[in-house]
Amino acid sequence: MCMAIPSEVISIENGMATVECFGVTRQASLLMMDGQVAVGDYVLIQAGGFVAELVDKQTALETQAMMAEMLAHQAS
Amino acid sequence: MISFAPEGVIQVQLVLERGRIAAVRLRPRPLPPLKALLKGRQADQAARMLPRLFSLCRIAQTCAALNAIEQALGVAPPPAQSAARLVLTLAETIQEHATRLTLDGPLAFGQAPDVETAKAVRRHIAALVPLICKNDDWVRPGGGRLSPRPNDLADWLEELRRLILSGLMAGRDVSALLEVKDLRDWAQGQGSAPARLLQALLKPGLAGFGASATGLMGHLDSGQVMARLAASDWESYAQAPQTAAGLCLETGPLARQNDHRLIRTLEAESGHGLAARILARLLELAQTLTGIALALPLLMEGEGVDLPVAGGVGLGAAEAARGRLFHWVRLDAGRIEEYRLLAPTEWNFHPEGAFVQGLKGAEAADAETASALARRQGLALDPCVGLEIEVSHA
Repeated sequence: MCMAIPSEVISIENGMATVECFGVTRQASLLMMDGQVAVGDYVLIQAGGFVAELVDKQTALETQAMMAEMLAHQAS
Repeated sequence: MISFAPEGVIQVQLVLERGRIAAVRLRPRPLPPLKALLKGRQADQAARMLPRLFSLCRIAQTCAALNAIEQALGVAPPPAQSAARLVLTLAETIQEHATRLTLDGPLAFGQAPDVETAKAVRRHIAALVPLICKNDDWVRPGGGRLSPRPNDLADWLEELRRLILSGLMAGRDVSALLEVKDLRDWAQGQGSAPARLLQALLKPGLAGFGASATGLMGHLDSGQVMARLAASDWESYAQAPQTAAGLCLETGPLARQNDHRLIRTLEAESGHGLAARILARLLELAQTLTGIALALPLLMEGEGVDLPVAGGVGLGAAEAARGRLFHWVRLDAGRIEEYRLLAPTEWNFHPEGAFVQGLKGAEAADAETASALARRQGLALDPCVGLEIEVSHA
Protein backbone atom coordinates (compact mmCIF):
# COMPACT_ATOMS: atom_id res chain seq x y z
CA MET A 1 0.00 0.00 0.00
CA CYS A 2 3.11 2.16 -0.44
CA MET A 3 3.23 2.89 3.25
CA ALA A 4 6.60 3.59 4.78
CA ILE A 5 6.99 4.03 8.49
CA PRO A 6 10.08 5.82 9.82
CA SER A 7 12.55 3.36 11.29
CA GLU A 8 15.35 4.01 13.77
CA VAL A 9 18.91 3.33 12.70
CA ILE A 10 20.46 1.00 15.28
CA SER A 11 23.76 0.27 13.55
CA ILE A 12 25.75 1.12 10.44
CA GLU A 13 28.32 -1.06 8.77
CA ASN A 14 29.85 -1.04 5.28
CA GLY A 15 27.27 1.36 3.83
CA MET A 16 24.36 -0.62 5.21
CA ALA A 17 22.11 0.48 8.03
CA THR A 18 20.27 -1.88 10.33
CA VAL A 19 16.99 -0.21 11.19
CA GLU A 20 14.24 -1.07 13.64
CA CYS A 21 10.55 -0.34 13.72
CA PHE A 22 7.99 -1.96 16.05
CA GLY A 23 10.57 -4.55 17.05
CA VAL A 24 11.25 -5.64 13.48
CA THR A 25 14.79 -5.10 12.19
CA ARG A 26 15.90 -5.00 8.60
CA GLN A 27 18.79 -3.80 6.50
CA ALA A 28 18.84 -0.91 4.07
CA SER A 29 21.49 0.58 1.82
CA LEU A 30 22.86 4.06 2.55
CA LEU A 31 23.97 4.52 -1.06
CA MET A 32 21.66 7.51 -1.55
CA MET A 33 22.48 9.34 1.67
CA ASP A 34 26.01 10.82 1.37
CA GLY A 35 27.01 9.88 4.90
CA GLN A 36 24.25 12.00 6.46
CA VAL A 37 22.84 9.16 8.53
CA ALA A 38 23.95 8.29 12.07
CA VAL A 39 22.88 5.73 14.64
CA GLY A 40 19.75 7.00 16.39
CA ASP A 41 18.41 8.80 13.33
CA TYR A 42 15.00 7.99 11.89
CA VAL A 43 14.82 7.20 8.18
CA LEU A 44 12.40 6.22 5.46
CA ILE A 45 13.26 3.21 3.33
CA GLN A 46 12.38 3.28 -0.32
CA ALA A 47 11.48 0.52 -2.70
CA GLY A 48 14.55 -1.56 -3.40
CA GLY A 49 15.78 -1.27 0.19
CA PHE A 50 17.44 2.15 0.02
CA VAL A 51 17.34 4.72 2.78
CA ALA A 52 15.75 7.62 0.98
CA GLU A 53 15.11 10.27 3.59
CA LEU A 54 15.90 11.41 7.11
CA VAL A 55 12.88 12.12 9.30
CA ASP A 56 13.02 14.24 12.44
CA LYS A 57 12.46 12.27 15.62
CA GLN A 58 9.17 13.93 16.60
CA THR A 59 7.61 13.35 13.19
CA ALA A 60 8.89 9.77 13.18
CA LEU A 61 7.40 8.97 16.59
CA GLU A 62 4.08 10.60 15.68
CA THR A 63 3.91 8.57 12.49
CA GLN A 64 4.75 5.38 14.33
CA ALA A 65 1.98 6.17 16.82
CA MET A 66 -0.50 6.58 13.95
CA MET A 67 0.53 3.25 12.51
CA ALA A 68 0.36 1.57 15.91
CA GLU A 69 -3.20 2.86 16.33
CA MET A 70 -4.22 1.33 13.01
CA LEU A 71 -2.50 -1.96 13.70
CA ALA A 72 -4.03 -2.22 17.17
CA HIS A 73 -7.43 -1.84 15.54
CA GLN A 74 -6.56 -4.42 12.92
CA ALA A 75 -5.52 -6.90 15.61
CA SER A 76 -8.64 -6.37 17.74
CA MET B 1 5.95 -6.44 19.59
CA ILE B 2 3.84 -5.73 16.54
CA SER B 3 4.58 -7.76 13.48
CA PHE B 4 3.80 -6.03 10.24
CA ALA B 5 4.98 -5.12 6.78
CA PRO B 6 4.11 -1.48 6.19
CA GLU B 7 4.83 -1.63 2.45
CA GLY B 8 2.25 -4.38 2.12
CA VAL B 9 3.71 -7.72 1.19
CA ILE B 10 1.98 -9.77 -1.48
CA GLN B 11 2.23 -13.52 -1.09
CA VAL B 12 2.95 -15.30 -4.34
CA GLN B 13 2.79 -19.04 -4.94
CA LEU B 14 4.46 -20.34 -8.09
CA VAL B 15 3.88 -23.87 -9.33
CA LEU B 16 6.59 -25.36 -11.55
CA GLU B 17 5.82 -28.08 -14.06
CA ARG B 18 8.09 -29.40 -16.82
CA GLY B 19 10.44 -26.44 -16.66
CA ARG B 20 7.74 -23.80 -16.76
CA ILE B 21 5.72 -21.72 -14.32
CA ALA B 22 2.42 -23.54 -14.69
CA ALA B 23 0.42 -21.59 -12.12
CA VAL B 24 0.70 -18.32 -10.21
CA ARG B 25 -1.45 -17.73 -7.16
CA LEU B 26 -1.60 -14.45 -5.27
CA ARG B 27 -2.96 -13.66 -1.88
CA PRO B 28 -4.14 -10.02 -1.81
CA ARG B 29 -2.66 -7.69 0.77
CA PRO B 30 -4.66 -6.73 3.84
CA LEU B 31 -6.07 -3.23 3.49
CA PRO B 32 -4.91 -0.61 5.99
CA PRO B 33 -7.73 0.18 8.44
CA LEU B 34 -7.71 3.89 7.68
CA LYS B 35 -11.15 4.41 9.17
CA ALA B 36 -9.82 3.40 12.58
CA LEU B 37 -7.26 6.17 12.44
CA LEU B 38 -9.28 8.89 10.72
CA LYS B 39 -12.87 8.52 11.95
CA GLY B 40 -14.04 11.65 13.75
CA ARG B 41 -11.12 13.77 12.62
CA GLN B 42 -11.58 17.06 10.78
CA ALA B 43 -11.16 16.61 7.04
CA ASP B 44 -8.17 18.97 6.82
CA GLN B 45 -6.43 17.15 9.67
CA ALA B 46 -6.94 13.83 7.88
CA ALA B 47 -5.49 15.31 4.69
CA ARG B 48 -2.31 16.18 6.59
CA MET B 49 -2.04 12.79 8.27
CA LEU B 50 -2.31 10.60 5.18
CA PRO B 51 0.92 11.68 3.47
CA ARG B 52 2.80 10.80 6.65
CA LEU B 53 1.61 7.21 6.33
CA PHE B 54 1.87 6.93 2.56
CA SER B 55 5.25 8.54 2.35
CA LEU B 56 6.51 6.68 -0.73
CA CYS B 57 4.18 8.56 -3.08
CA ARG B 58 2.96 11.15 -0.65
CA ILE B 59 2.13 13.84 -3.19
CA ALA B 60 -0.21 11.66 -5.23
CA GLN B 61 -1.79 10.29 -2.06
CA THR B 62 -2.31 13.82 -0.77
CA CYS B 63 -3.89 14.97 -4.03
CA ALA B 64 -6.27 12.01 -4.11
CA ALA B 65 -7.26 12.75 -0.51
CA LEU B 66 -7.81 16.47 -1.18
CA ASN B 67 -9.87 15.70 -4.29
CA ALA B 68 -12.05 13.22 -2.42
CA ILE B 69 -12.69 15.58 0.48
CA GLU B 70 -13.47 18.49 -1.84
CA GLN B 71 -15.93 16.41 -3.81
CA ALA B 72 -17.61 15.30 -0.60
CA LEU B 73 -17.93 18.91 0.52
CA GLY B 74 -19.04 20.12 -2.91
CA VAL B 75 -16.20 22.65 -3.27
CA ALA B 76 -13.84 23.22 -6.19
CA PRO B 77 -10.34 24.54 -5.55
CA PRO B 78 -9.17 27.58 -7.60
CA PRO B 79 -7.34 26.65 -10.83
CA ALA B 80 -3.98 27.72 -9.39
CA GLN B 81 -4.37 25.14 -6.60
CA SER B 82 -5.11 22.40 -9.12
CA ALA B 83 -2.09 23.49 -11.14
CA ALA B 84 0.13 23.35 -8.05
CA ARG B 85 -1.07 19.83 -7.26
CA LEU B 86 -0.45 18.74 -10.83
CA VAL B 87 3.09 20.15 -10.90
CA LEU B 88 3.93 18.48 -7.59
CA THR B 89 2.46 15.13 -8.68
CA LEU B 90 4.33 15.18 -11.97
CA ALA B 91 7.57 16.05 -10.20
CA GLU B 92 7.07 13.12 -7.85
CA THR B 93 6.58 10.87 -10.88
CA ILE B 94 9.89 12.07 -12.33
CA GLN B 95 11.65 11.36 -9.05
CA GLU B 96 10.24 7.85 -8.85
CA HIS B 97 10.94 7.00 -12.50
CA ALA B 98 14.47 8.40 -12.26
CA THR B 99 15.16 6.21 -9.25
CA ARG B 100 13.84 3.12 -11.03
CA LEU B 101 15.85 3.85 -14.17
CA THR B 102 19.15 4.67 -12.49
CA LEU B 103 19.14 2.61 -9.32
CA ASP B 104 16.95 -0.44 -8.78
CA GLY B 105 16.40 -1.18 -12.47
CA PRO B 106 20.12 -1.51 -13.27
CA LEU B 107 20.81 -3.38 -10.02
CA ALA B 108 18.08 -5.91 -10.84
CA PHE B 109 19.89 -6.74 -14.08
CA GLY B 110 23.39 -6.85 -12.65
CA GLN B 111 24.37 -3.45 -13.98
CA ALA B 112 26.06 -0.55 -12.21
CA PRO B 113 23.60 1.99 -10.79
CA ASP B 114 24.01 5.71 -11.45
CA VAL B 115 23.70 6.84 -7.86
CA GLU B 116 24.81 10.41 -8.56
CA THR B 117 22.01 11.04 -11.06
CA ALA B 118 19.45 9.43 -8.74
CA LYS B 119 20.59 11.68 -5.91
CA ALA B 120 20.74 14.80 -8.08
CA VAL B 121 17.17 14.31 -9.31
CA ARG B 122 15.90 13.63 -5.80
CA ARG B 123 17.63 16.73 -4.39
CA HIS B 124 16.24 18.84 -7.21
CA ILE B 125 12.67 17.59 -6.79
CA ALA B 126 12.90 18.22 -3.04
CA ALA B 127 13.60 21.90 -3.80
CA LEU B 128 10.26 22.38 -5.59
CA VAL B 129 7.71 22.86 -2.79
CA PRO B 130 9.44 25.95 -1.30
CA LEU B 131 9.23 27.59 -4.74
CA ILE B 132 5.43 27.20 -4.68
CA CYS B 133 4.44 27.76 -1.07
CA LYS B 134 5.74 27.96 2.48
CA ASN B 135 5.98 24.76 4.47
CA ASP B 136 3.30 22.42 3.14
CA ASP B 137 0.61 25.08 2.88
CA TRP B 138 -0.77 23.53 -0.33
CA VAL B 139 -1.99 20.53 1.71
CA ARG B 140 -5.45 21.84 2.56
CA PRO B 141 -8.86 20.87 1.16
CA GLY B 142 -10.10 23.79 -0.90
CA GLY B 143 -6.51 24.89 -1.44
CA GLY B 144 -3.90 26.61 0.72
CA ARG B 145 -1.83 29.76 0.53
CA LEU B 146 0.34 29.72 -2.60
CA SER B 147 3.26 32.08 -3.07
CA PRO B 148 4.92 30.88 -6.29
CA ARG B 149 8.25 32.34 -7.43
CA PRO B 150 7.93 32.35 -11.24
CA ASN B 151 11.55 33.10 -12.12
CA ASP B 152 12.90 30.52 -9.71
CA LEU B 153 10.37 27.99 -10.99
CA ALA B 154 11.47 28.60 -14.58
CA ASP B 155 15.11 28.07 -13.56
CA TRP B 156 14.12 24.98 -11.61
CA LEU B 157 12.38 23.52 -14.65
CA GLU B 158 15.35 24.21 -16.91
CA GLU B 159 17.69 22.50 -14.48
CA LEU B 160 15.32 19.52 -14.27
CA ARG B 161 15.25 19.34 -18.06
CA ARG B 162 19.05 19.39 -18.11
CA LEU B 163 19.30 16.65 -15.48
CA ILE B 164 16.95 14.40 -17.42
CA LEU B 165 18.46 15.10 -20.80
CA SER B 166 22.06 14.63 -19.70
CA GLY B 167 21.76 12.22 -16.77
CA LEU B 168 19.06 9.88 -18.06
CA MET B 169 18.73 10.38 -21.80
CA ALA B 170 22.41 10.76 -22.67
CA GLY B 171 21.85 14.02 -24.54
CA ARG B 172 19.00 12.84 -26.78
CA ASP B 173 15.27 13.29 -26.19
CA VAL B 174 14.29 9.63 -26.43
CA SER B 175 10.60 10.52 -26.71
CA ALA B 176 11.35 12.17 -30.08
CA LEU B 177 12.69 8.94 -31.59
CA LEU B 178 10.32 7.39 -34.09
CA GLU B 179 11.69 3.93 -34.76
CA VAL B 180 12.77 1.10 -32.49
CA LYS B 181 15.93 0.89 -34.59
CA ASP B 182 16.78 4.45 -33.46
CA LEU B 183 16.05 3.44 -29.88
CA ARG B 184 18.42 0.47 -30.21
CA ASP B 185 21.13 2.75 -31.63
CA TRP B 186 20.62 5.15 -28.73
CA ALA B 187 20.76 2.29 -26.20
CA GLN B 188 23.91 0.85 -27.78
CA GLY B 189 25.66 4.15 -27.17
CA GLN B 190 25.41 3.23 -23.45
CA GLY B 191 25.50 6.89 -22.53
CA SER B 192 23.38 6.58 -19.39
CA ALA B 193 22.12 3.98 -16.93
CA PRO B 194 18.70 3.81 -18.67
CA ALA B 195 20.44 3.36 -22.03
CA ARG B 196 22.49 0.45 -20.69
CA LEU B 197 19.38 -1.02 -19.09
CA LEU B 198 17.38 -0.81 -22.30
CA GLN B 199 20.25 -2.22 -24.33
CA ALA B 200 20.00 -5.33 -22.16
CA LEU B 201 16.22 -5.45 -22.20
CA LEU B 202 15.79 -4.98 -25.95
CA LYS B 203 17.34 -8.37 -26.62
CA PRO B 204 15.05 -11.14 -27.85
CA GLY B 205 13.65 -13.14 -24.96
CA LEU B 206 13.99 -10.39 -22.39
CA ALA B 207 12.11 -7.69 -24.28
CA GLY B 208 8.84 -9.57 -24.20
CA PHE B 209 9.26 -11.15 -20.79
CA GLY B 210 6.16 -10.65 -18.65
CA ALA B 211 3.90 -9.64 -21.53
CA SER B 212 0.25 -10.52 -21.34
CA ALA B 213 -3.02 -9.72 -23.00
CA THR B 214 -4.23 -7.78 -19.97
CA GLY B 215 -5.86 -4.55 -21.09
CA LEU B 216 -4.26 -1.20 -20.28
CA MET B 217 -6.15 1.27 -18.15
CA GLY B 218 -7.35 4.26 -20.08
CA HIS B 219 -10.69 5.82 -19.35
CA LEU B 220 -12.17 4.21 -16.27
CA ASP B 221 -15.79 4.64 -15.26
CA SER B 222 -15.38 6.63 -12.02
CA GLY B 223 -19.08 6.10 -11.28
CA GLN B 224 -18.44 2.39 -11.10
CA VAL B 225 -15.35 2.88 -8.91
CA MET B 226 -17.36 5.15 -6.61
CA ALA B 227 -20.24 2.69 -6.38
CA ARG B 228 -17.95 -0.26 -5.67
CA LEU B 229 -15.97 1.61 -3.01
CA ALA B 230 -19.22 2.76 -1.39
CA ALA B 231 -20.66 -0.76 -1.25
CA SER B 232 -20.66 -2.90 1.88
CA ASP B 233 -18.38 -5.46 0.19
CA TRP B 234 -15.91 -2.75 -0.88
CA GLU B 235 -12.93 -4.59 0.61
CA SER B 236 -13.20 -7.46 -1.86
CA TYR B 237 -13.23 -4.88 -4.68
CA ALA B 238 -10.30 -2.86 -3.28
CA GLN B 239 -8.26 -6.05 -2.92
CA ALA B 240 -9.01 -7.37 -6.42
CA PRO B 241 -10.53 -4.68 -8.63
CA GLN B 242 -11.99 -5.30 -12.06
CA THR B 243 -14.07 -3.26 -14.45
CA ALA B 244 -17.85 -3.52 -14.53
CA ALA B 245 -17.39 -6.01 -17.38
CA GLY B 246 -15.18 -8.18 -15.17
CA LEU B 247 -11.90 -7.26 -16.86
CA CYS B 248 -8.51 -6.90 -15.25
CA LEU B 249 -6.48 -3.85 -16.26
CA GLU B 250 -2.85 -2.79 -16.01
CA THR B 251 -2.29 0.71 -14.70
CA GLY B 252 0.93 2.73 -14.63
CA PRO B 253 3.47 4.18 -17.06
CA LEU B 254 2.86 1.63 -19.80
CA ALA B 255 -0.89 2.31 -19.79
CA ARG B 256 -0.26 6.07 -19.89
CA GLN B 257 2.36 5.92 -22.66
CA ASN B 258 0.68 3.28 -24.77
CA ASP B 259 -0.04 5.73 -27.60
CA HIS B 260 3.64 6.51 -28.16
CA ARG B 261 4.88 5.13 -31.45
CA LEU B 262 7.86 3.36 -29.88
CA ILE B 263 5.61 1.53 -27.43
CA ARG B 264 3.24 0.55 -30.24
CA THR B 265 6.10 -0.81 -32.31
CA LEU B 266 7.62 -2.67 -29.37
CA GLU B 267 4.22 -4.16 -28.63
CA ALA B 268 4.02 -5.45 -32.19
CA GLU B 269 7.53 -6.94 -31.88
CA SER B 270 7.48 -8.43 -28.42
CA GLY B 271 4.28 -7.46 -26.59
CA HIS B 272 3.89 -5.39 -23.47
CA GLY B 273 6.89 -6.91 -21.77
CA LEU B 274 9.90 -5.72 -19.80
CA ALA B 275 11.30 -3.48 -22.52
CA ALA B 276 7.98 -1.69 -23.09
CA ARG B 277 7.38 -1.20 -19.35
CA ILE B 278 10.85 0.25 -18.73
CA LEU B 279 10.78 2.36 -21.90
CA ALA B 280 7.41 3.79 -20.85
CA ARG B 281 9.04 5.25 -17.74
CA LEU B 282 11.74 6.88 -19.83
CA LEU B 283 9.23 8.32 -22.29
CA GLU B 284 7.09 9.58 -19.46
CA LEU B 285 9.97 11.70 -18.17
CA ALA B 286 9.75 13.84 -21.31
CA GLN B 287 5.98 14.01 -21.30
CA THR B 288 5.98 14.93 -17.63
CA LEU B 289 8.43 17.76 -18.22
CA THR B 290 6.02 19.15 -20.81
CA GLY B 291 3.13 18.82 -18.37
CA ILE B 292 5.03 20.77 -15.73
CA ALA B 293 5.96 23.46 -18.26
CA LEU B 294 2.31 23.88 -19.25
CA ALA B 295 1.06 24.02 -15.66
CA LEU B 296 3.65 26.39 -14.20
CA PRO B 297 2.17 29.58 -15.77
CA LEU B 298 -1.15 28.74 -14.06
CA LEU B 299 0.39 29.07 -10.61
CA MET B 300 -0.79 32.29 -8.98
CA GLU B 301 -0.39 33.82 -5.59
CA GLY B 302 -3.52 33.32 -3.55
CA GLU B 303 -5.57 31.34 -1.08
CA GLY B 304 -7.95 28.44 -1.37
CA VAL B 305 -11.69 28.54 -0.81
CA ASP B 306 -13.51 28.32 2.52
CA LEU B 307 -14.87 24.92 3.43
CA PRO B 308 -18.45 24.37 4.52
CA VAL B 309 -19.07 22.25 7.61
CA ALA B 310 -21.01 19.69 5.66
CA GLY B 311 -21.41 16.03 4.93
CA GLY B 312 -21.22 14.05 1.74
CA VAL B 313 -19.41 11.38 -0.20
CA GLY B 314 -16.46 11.98 -2.49
CA LEU B 315 -14.06 10.12 -4.77
CA GLY B 316 -10.62 11.53 -5.50
CA ALA B 317 -8.22 10.24 -8.12
CA ALA B 318 -4.55 10.88 -8.83
CA GLU B 319 -2.04 9.45 -11.28
CA ALA B 320 0.78 8.26 -9.06
CA ALA B 321 4.05 7.14 -10.65
CA ARG B 322 2.88 3.54 -10.24
CA GLY B 323 -0.61 4.05 -11.59
CA ARG B 324 -4.06 5.36 -10.84
CA LEU B 325 -4.98 5.85 -7.24
CA PHE B 326 -8.42 6.44 -5.71
CA HIS B 327 -9.48 7.69 -2.30
CA TRP B 328 -13.11 7.52 -1.19
CA VAL B 329 -14.46 9.39 1.81
CA ARG B 330 -17.73 9.93 3.61
CA LEU B 331 -17.91 13.06 5.75
CA ASP B 332 -20.39 14.00 8.43
CA ALA B 333 -20.41 17.64 9.58
CA GLY B 334 -16.89 18.13 8.18
CA ARG B 335 -15.47 15.10 9.97
CA ILE B 336 -14.37 11.74 8.58
CA GLU B 337 -17.02 9.08 8.92
CA GLU B 338 -15.49 6.50 6.56
CA TYR B 339 -12.28 6.36 4.50
CA ARG B 340 -11.39 3.85 1.78
CA LEU B 341 -8.58 3.52 -0.70
CA LEU B 342 -7.98 1.72 -4.00
CA ALA B 343 -4.27 1.54 -4.87
CA PRO B 344 -2.81 0.89 -8.33
CA THR B 345 -1.05 -2.18 -6.97
CA GLU B 346 -4.31 -4.09 -6.64
CA TRP B 347 -5.05 -3.72 -10.35
CA ASN B 348 -1.63 -4.90 -11.42
CA PHE B 349 -1.44 -7.69 -8.84
CA HIS B 350 -5.01 -8.91 -9.29
CA PRO B 351 -5.10 -12.75 -9.02
CA GLU B 352 -5.86 -12.80 -12.76
CA GLY B 353 -4.10 -9.58 -13.70
CA ALA B 354 -0.93 -8.47 -15.48
CA PHE B 355 1.57 -9.84 -12.95
CA VAL B 356 0.02 -13.30 -12.97
CA GLN B 357 -0.72 -13.53 -16.69
CA GLY B 358 2.76 -12.34 -17.61
CA LEU B 359 4.46 -15.00 -15.48
CA LYS B 360 2.33 -17.98 -16.47
CA GLY B 361 4.12 -20.22 -18.91
CA ALA B 362 7.55 -18.60 -18.38
CA GLU B 363 10.47 -21.01 -18.62
CA ALA B 364 12.01 -21.69 -15.22
CA ALA B 365 14.20 -24.70 -14.65
CA ASP B 366 14.19 -24.43 -10.87
CA ALA B 367 12.71 -22.60 -7.90
CA GLU B 368 15.49 -20.03 -7.78
CA THR B 369 14.95 -19.05 -11.41
CA ALA B 370 11.19 -18.89 -10.94
CA SER B 371 11.57 -16.60 -7.91
CA ALA B 372 13.94 -14.33 -9.79
CA LEU B 373 11.50 -14.06 -12.68
CA ALA B 374 8.66 -13.18 -10.33
CA ARG B 375 10.76 -10.46 -8.69
CA ARG B 376 11.65 -9.09 -12.13
CA GLN B 377 8.00 -8.99 -13.09
CA GLY B 378 7.14 -7.31 -9.81
CA LEU B 379 9.81 -4.65 -10.30
CA ALA B 380 8.55 -3.88 -13.79
CA LEU B 381 4.98 -3.44 -12.58
CA ASP B 382 5.30 -1.94 -9.13
CA PRO B 383 8.67 -1.52 -7.47
CA CYS B 384 7.14 -0.46 -4.15
CA VAL B 385 5.60 -3.83 -3.42
CA GLY B 386 7.34 -6.55 -1.47
CA LEU B 387 6.80 -10.09 -2.66
CA GLU B 388 6.93 -13.21 -0.51
CA ILE B 389 7.47 -15.98 -3.00
CA GLU B 390 6.92 -19.69 -2.46
CA VAL B 391 7.68 -22.21 -5.20
CA SER B 392 6.26 -25.73 -5.40
CA HIS B 393 6.38 -28.47 -8.01
CA ALA B 394 3.26 -29.89 -9.63
